[in-house]
Amino acid sequence: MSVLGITPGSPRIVLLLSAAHSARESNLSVVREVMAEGIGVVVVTANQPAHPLAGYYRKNGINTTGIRFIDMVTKYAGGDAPPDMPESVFLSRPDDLTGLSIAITEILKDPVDQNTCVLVDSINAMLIYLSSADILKFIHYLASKLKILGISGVFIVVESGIDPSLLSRLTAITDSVIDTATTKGTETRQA
Amino acid sequence: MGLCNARDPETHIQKRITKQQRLYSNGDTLIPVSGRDTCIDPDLYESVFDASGDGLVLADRTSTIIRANRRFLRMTRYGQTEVEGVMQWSQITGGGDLAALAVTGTAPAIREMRLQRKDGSFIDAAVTVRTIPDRGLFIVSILDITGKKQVAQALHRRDVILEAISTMAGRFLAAPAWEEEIVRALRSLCTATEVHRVYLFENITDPETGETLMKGRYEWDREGHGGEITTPWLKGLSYQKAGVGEWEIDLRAGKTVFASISDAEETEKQNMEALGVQSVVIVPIHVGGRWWGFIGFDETRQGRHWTEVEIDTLGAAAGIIGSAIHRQETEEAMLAYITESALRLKNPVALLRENIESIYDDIREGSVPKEEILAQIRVQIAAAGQIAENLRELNASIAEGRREIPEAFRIFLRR
Repeated sequence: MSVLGITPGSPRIVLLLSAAHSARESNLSVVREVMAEGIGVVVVTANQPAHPLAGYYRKNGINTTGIRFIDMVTKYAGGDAPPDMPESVFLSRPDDLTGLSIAITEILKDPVDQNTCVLVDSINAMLIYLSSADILKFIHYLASKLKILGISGVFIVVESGIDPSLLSRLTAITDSVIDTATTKGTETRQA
Repeated sequence: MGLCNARDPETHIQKRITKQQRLYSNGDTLIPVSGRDTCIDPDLYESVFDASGDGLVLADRTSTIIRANRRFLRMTRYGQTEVEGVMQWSQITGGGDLAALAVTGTAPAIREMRLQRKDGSFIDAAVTVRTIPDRGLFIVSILDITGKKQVAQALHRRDVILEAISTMAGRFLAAPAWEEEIVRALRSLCTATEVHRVYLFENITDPETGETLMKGRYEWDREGHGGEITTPWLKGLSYQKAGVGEWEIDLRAGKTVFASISDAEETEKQNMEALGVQSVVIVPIHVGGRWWGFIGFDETRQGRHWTEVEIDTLGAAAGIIGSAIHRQETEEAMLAYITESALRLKNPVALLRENIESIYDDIREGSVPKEEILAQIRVQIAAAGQIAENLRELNASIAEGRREIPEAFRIFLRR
């Protein structure tokens, strides 16, 4: 069953509320559902390094050929960009929003990327490195950019980790909010 | 008496008559003097009369002033020839004659009344009128109590303002936000100070030039109009362009500014004329040691005298408003600190825990390569380090803005 409602030609910006213990599974579900629609995925990861995450996908039966990563943490933690992920971008610092913006722009500049979904995992992990004000501005910028390009976006949030004010602002930015923690995929708001 | 004996009797008598005529003549008759009086040199009478610290007037039964001393002339700003023999008492009191004021008994009746000077201004006076028995004359003693009255009025006005401030302080304490109470506070101050208009301006910074601008927030006027200031040009007005660049220096230094149209500088005067303002008092508001803005009191009536006592009291009003703003800013900062702490400390720690549990599961299953496990652990270590750094940054930001935190604790929080 389609939870996100993202299909080719029908781009949406979704805020995905996840329980803390199932954040990794939520990530996997999004990738699986989007790819099942024939849509490519760009995973912006601030929570886990890209290489193990790609392994996690593969382990769960997902062909990672159509997945590109923008990894915000591997280099910061002292690691190197893996040689087997040439199409992915590894940022030096997770608080480098300018670098992140450039990376997203670069990775989406190909016209074929119209059929793409950007998955941000997760806003909570970004809050380790950035202030809520900076994150809000960035998410607003990214959502606007994706809408203009006609590209879908999914922002994962561990619901219990976000204060009501920030959550309501994020809700206002996105097209819909899906709460996987309490409704098992039921959409709670349709913009 | 010694004075009499020291002079030639004939000359003395002649001189005495001349003086007595001046002093005691009621037109037709010389007034006999008592035996005691005959022994005093009339020059002495003249000197005592003129040198008195109080205004003294001798008037006839028609209330015409026939003699006035120097003090009275200075007090009323008339010349001697404009008074003696020509001026009626009623001319300076706006009506009434002395007979109605006179006391016939021994106990003097002191009355407070306003006397009009030659230039039209008024003095407050304590006036005592006595009759000279069987002479049809009145002796009027006038004590200028204008200064005393002004002090009394200023003290009264201060008390009224203090009462308004006291009420205001209580309301600010009970209100969740100072903005909810400020209009009522301005109304109370407008009534208490009896000025035309009271207003509150906040400083903002020009994002392009960095210049301090004044932004009108709230106002109240005597006619009962007021509320939030919505006039667009008052939403970001330069002190320099408004012609009050000097205010910025004084207010920033915590000084109250007083300006009167009569002695204002040209640009300031033009502003005041445009606004129909005769005088203005601007009191700075400081919040936690920083200059936040000011509260202003406009007077459109001429000649409003602001005493130091009143101006000091207005400073207290500004202090109360500043305290209310500071308290709210402190509460908001604390809420922001708690929220940001939860976002950047408590919840990331929870996230870290979940990630470590996932790594633990991966290790237990043995299906994830060692290098990937190590990469994941490295990221979590980096995240933990960042969380500790976030805590230090948040503490430092709180410590920087709070002067009440002792230096030793400030250093500890910044470490």
